[in-house]
Amino acid sequence: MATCTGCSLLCEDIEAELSGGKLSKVKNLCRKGHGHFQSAFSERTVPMIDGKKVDLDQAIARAAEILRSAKSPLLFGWSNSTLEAQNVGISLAEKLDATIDDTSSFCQGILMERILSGSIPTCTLDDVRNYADVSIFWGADPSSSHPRHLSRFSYYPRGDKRQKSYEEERTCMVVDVRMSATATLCKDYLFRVPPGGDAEFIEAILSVLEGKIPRLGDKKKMIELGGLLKKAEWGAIFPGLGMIYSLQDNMEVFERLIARLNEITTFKVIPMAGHFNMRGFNELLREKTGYINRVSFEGGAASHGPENSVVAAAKTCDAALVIGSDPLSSLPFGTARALARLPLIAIDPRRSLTTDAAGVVIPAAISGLEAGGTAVRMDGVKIKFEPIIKADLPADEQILSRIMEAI
Amino acid sequence: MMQFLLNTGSTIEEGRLAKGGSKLSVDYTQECAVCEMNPEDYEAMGSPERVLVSTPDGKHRVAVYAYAGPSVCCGHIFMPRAIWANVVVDPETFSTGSPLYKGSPVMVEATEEDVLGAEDLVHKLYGRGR
Repeated sequence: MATCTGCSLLCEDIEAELSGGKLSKVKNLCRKGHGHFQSAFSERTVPMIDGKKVDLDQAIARAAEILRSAKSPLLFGWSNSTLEAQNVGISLAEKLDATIDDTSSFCQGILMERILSGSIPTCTLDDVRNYADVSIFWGADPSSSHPRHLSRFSYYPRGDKRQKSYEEERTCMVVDVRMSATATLCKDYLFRVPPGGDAEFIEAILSVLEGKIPRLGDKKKMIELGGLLKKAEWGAIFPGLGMIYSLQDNMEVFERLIARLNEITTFKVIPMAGHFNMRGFNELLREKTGYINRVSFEGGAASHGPENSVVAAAKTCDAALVIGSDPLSSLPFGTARALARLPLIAIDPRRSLTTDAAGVVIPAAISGLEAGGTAVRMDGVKIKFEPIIKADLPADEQILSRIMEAI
Repeated sequence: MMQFLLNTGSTIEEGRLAKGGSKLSVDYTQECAVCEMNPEDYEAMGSPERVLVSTPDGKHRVAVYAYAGPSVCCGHIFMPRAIWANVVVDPETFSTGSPLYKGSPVMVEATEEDVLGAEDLVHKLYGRGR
């Protein structure tokens, strides 16, 4: 059995044969995971300096030189690296007095912070499978982003207390601005909110839970929603980026909703982390510094703030190391351009816009396929995996250790 | 030219191609350089094959394929989260450290401009590429 590192569900039941440049005899992979496994054979990177092929040692030496001579380097990415690599990365940031940030910074960070500090109650996905009778996807579309979420945990499977499952016992709801792929599965329970309207929507739910008539939206539908929430025996809410971007620094209103729901019944929250080990990085950095992301070690002590986010630091740092991430594709144009103009080091198994723009490219083994390690699933469960293909490429952890030794 | 609210997000094909290391492929461009519009809005715009999506100040713009889809409300557009959408996502974070990937106001108009692949787009925007 293999573990798929294609998303933060870390499916451990994958059967696949990868040999002779081909993927065959596949079982249990979703379409996204299938693409991830096939990537072992496409668009692989080679060691490069300024667009010219070099050997690995030269690329590592050049990376070390860039970082050594930088006054305020940024180390970014991390969500697609193992805990072992993240651990070395944080030590590297400390050694360099650098800024370190991961993709949670413009993703689930604001909610993950509350989950890890215990201010919002959470549970494991196995608890969801065994006990949940209501699953709410809020600004999340797992049918596109985490394709096996519903079949393994949140809707279709039979659990200890949910033997009749989706046919009789489970209700799946969606809160979204659009009819997403997930929403098409439960059209009767799609609650549409306008962009940025989540805080008002939550206030309307709180009113309904108090027995008041909501001032917002379809009153009949809101009263129906209030009834469903009150009747739930064990509910789970899965917030996605739709909710995060809508609430931003107003997450307190969501905390209030969860607290109120838990006065009535049981409701747990699991953030829909995207990359396979985003939560692992957040937990590890928090353990070491007290902060989940956006940390600067300048002056020798860890400081935290929006000025250390990749979006801000891209404009103030003088060199950047990007690992397992493609910010030139995933960040807004202004930020991406600032990164592209820096002395840039990219550690990645695959070619991307970021590796194309990088002065130094260091190829890495694909975690889960060619390199083993440990990662933390979106619900906090730690999962260890072994490689399933023998490859000559070094793992992220080894590359980072070598850079650190050379500095 | 009409104003819309831009919503960006995942699609399963975007995920498959991105995870598959095919972000620079024609398939990826066809999946991600697109703008889904409500059928009423799409018709009102003359059912164009391509549209130009731009920031309200007109400083940043990108041509993408347009299609009518039932998933979005009138006044909204959906683009898969990829480099094309990120040309017009506002990088301002309002001290939160996170840009507005969902709910950014954008302008949309029919266009004859070509839709560029990721590499050509980067070359045009940054003046660099492979």
